Amino acid sequence: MPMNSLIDVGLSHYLALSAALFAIGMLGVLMRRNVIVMMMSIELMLNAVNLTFIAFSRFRDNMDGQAMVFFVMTIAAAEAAVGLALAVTIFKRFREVNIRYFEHLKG
Amino acid sequence: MKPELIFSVLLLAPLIGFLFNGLRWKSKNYMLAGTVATGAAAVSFAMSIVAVSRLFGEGAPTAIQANFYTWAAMDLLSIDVSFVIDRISALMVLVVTGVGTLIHLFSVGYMSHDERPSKYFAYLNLFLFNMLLLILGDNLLMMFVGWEGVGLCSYLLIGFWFSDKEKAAAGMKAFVTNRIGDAGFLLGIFVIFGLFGTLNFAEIISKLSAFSVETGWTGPITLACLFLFIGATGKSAQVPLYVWLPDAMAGPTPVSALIHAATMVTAGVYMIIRLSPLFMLAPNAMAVVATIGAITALMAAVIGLAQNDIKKVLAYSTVSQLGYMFLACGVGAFGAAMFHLMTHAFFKALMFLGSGSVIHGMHEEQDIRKMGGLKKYMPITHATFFIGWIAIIGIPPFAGFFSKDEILWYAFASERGSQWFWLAGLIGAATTAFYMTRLMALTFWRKSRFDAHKVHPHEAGPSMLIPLIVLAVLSAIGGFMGIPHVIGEILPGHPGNWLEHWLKGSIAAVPMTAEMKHATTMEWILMGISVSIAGLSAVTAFSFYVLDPSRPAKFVSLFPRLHRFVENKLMVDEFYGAQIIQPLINASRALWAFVDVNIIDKATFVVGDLVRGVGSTARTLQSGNLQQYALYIALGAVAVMFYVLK
Repeated sequence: MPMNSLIDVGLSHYLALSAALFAIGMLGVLMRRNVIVMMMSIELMLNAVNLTFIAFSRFRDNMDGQAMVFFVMTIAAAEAAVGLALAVTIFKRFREVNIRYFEHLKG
Repeated sequence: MKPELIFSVLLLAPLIGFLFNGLRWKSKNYMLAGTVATGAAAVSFAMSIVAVSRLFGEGAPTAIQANFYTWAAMDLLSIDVSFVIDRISALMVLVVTGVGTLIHLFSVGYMSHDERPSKYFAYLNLFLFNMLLLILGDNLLMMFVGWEGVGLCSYLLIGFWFSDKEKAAAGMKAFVTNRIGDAGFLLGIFVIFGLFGTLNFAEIISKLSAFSVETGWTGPITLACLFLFIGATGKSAQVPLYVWLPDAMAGPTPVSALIHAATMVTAGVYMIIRLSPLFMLAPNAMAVVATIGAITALMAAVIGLAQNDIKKVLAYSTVSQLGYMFLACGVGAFGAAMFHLMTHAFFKALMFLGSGSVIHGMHEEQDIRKMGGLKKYMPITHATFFIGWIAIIGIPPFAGFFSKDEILWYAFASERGSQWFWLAGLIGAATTAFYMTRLMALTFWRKSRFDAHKVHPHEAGPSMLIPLIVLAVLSAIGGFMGIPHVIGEILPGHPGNWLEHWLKGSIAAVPMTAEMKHATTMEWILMGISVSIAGLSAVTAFSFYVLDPSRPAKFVSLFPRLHRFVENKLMVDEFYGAQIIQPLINASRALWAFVDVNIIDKATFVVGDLVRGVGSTARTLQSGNLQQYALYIALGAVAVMFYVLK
């Protein structure tokens, strides 16, 4: 049983943290040029969303949100696999994983 | 036989002939092509006889008809593909298929050396089919279909030797000139539909009783008649649209005989005769018809005086004779017009085929100044042409005398005639006698003016001579179907005017003025005057061109400018070219250079530039930069969120 905690951690704290993580992740996606870092940023955004799910699940006593998180994690794993494959291909060709090489895919 | 069967065979025989020859158009076998085509025409002729014979005898119907199917059925208008042989179309169908068969037969010999005989015979049969549609159709739209069809065939056959640019141009001229007339015809059809709500001839005429005679110029019936007459001036080569017919002589000579003398060009006259009760209600329109007819008869005859191409002389003669037919229609003598249409078909087809025989024998020479003395070489052609000659100048008892004299008499005596019409017709007749005698003299008589060592004129084979002989017989006796009463009375057995009796009740007629009704003496006097004037004119021409050949040159040297003016066809083509065609070309060019380039083109360019500008701005959005796309998604998500949460 927690005693004399400095502050009471409530739903809004979780949501604020989640929003901050999401914003950081988004900035990473939009601004970094390295594909690997961009994918890490995407992971960050996905986990920010997961945090929101968990928080709501906990505070509303509803397990649906927790179930949802598993889906998100699965999708994230799949996305990471595809993204890494792309990155490897780009790397093989250009010896670098800069996002600008993806412009070559433009029709 | 059921009427449906009769009409099917009558109409489909030439169409099958067309398909047969058209599908093997490359074949050079003129004998096969000619036999099939002539056979098809002959079958049509036989069927016409079967059909027309139904109209004879006691209690015979006045018409036989067959309705095949409804072509178009709309609320207000229902067009049936149906055909009728009544007393008017009976005469016409016999002339067209009969003369048509003879000319097909003649063509077998005439086209024996041609490169594409199958194509020629295919066109000829197609023409016959369309002409039959025109004649037999029982409503104006069927007539119009045939009307356009014969125009097409005329174009194809005038330009049959299209590798010669001049001949191709003649075909085009005919087509374009006819188009002007056809527009008028179509407008006439619209007015009639608006007025009567039907296009069927019988229904139109039965509804006429509700209308009275119009006096002004702007009444609907007058308007309809004038529009229809514009169509007739195009197809039947009347002033001011006659200019295509002389040029149409560029086609093969049998075509000139069939299409441009005997049948197609009479379509306008036929149409007016068919609608004679309608024209009766529009005296002003009839006055226009008569005046145009008289002017054409006179003017074309004058031009014919100074032409040197054998076919051109005959072409102007045709225009002039068609003028007589319209004169007759205009004064209300529709029966006389029909009569002259038939006799003219005989003697003019005869003379055209005769000229074809001459041209064939002279190795494609058409200039009568380079002929002469052909009587010795071509006795049968000469003899038949001779009969055509006395028939057209109106020497009794040959065909032309009866019909032309009837027209002149009605022009004088009819309530809608006048002595001026009569005088114009008389002068036209005298001129006709002169140029026809000149043609005979220069072609057949006196000494030959060609090099007998180089040119060997010869008589053609039987396929060309038989039609000549048959037509000569018809030209000689064809007039007896319309013997005027004054002559009939003094003849043994008092033969009546069969044609008048036959057509009575089928067509309208303007009565004679009261004092002329029984003016037998007057009729004899006028007849005497016209015959003697024509005879005198022929004798003068004979003395000019046979007795003293130096006289024409001396005579011409008195009026050199006038002669040149007539020789150049009164400069009508030049006038049209300078006053109508060139301004039209200039206006079109101006429209192109200013309106099209500066306004229409610019407007489309502005629109094009606008679209291109928007596009080139928008395409920068799609740069291929992945992060830019991601930014769009993010901004979009923010926008949606902002909208949802507000």
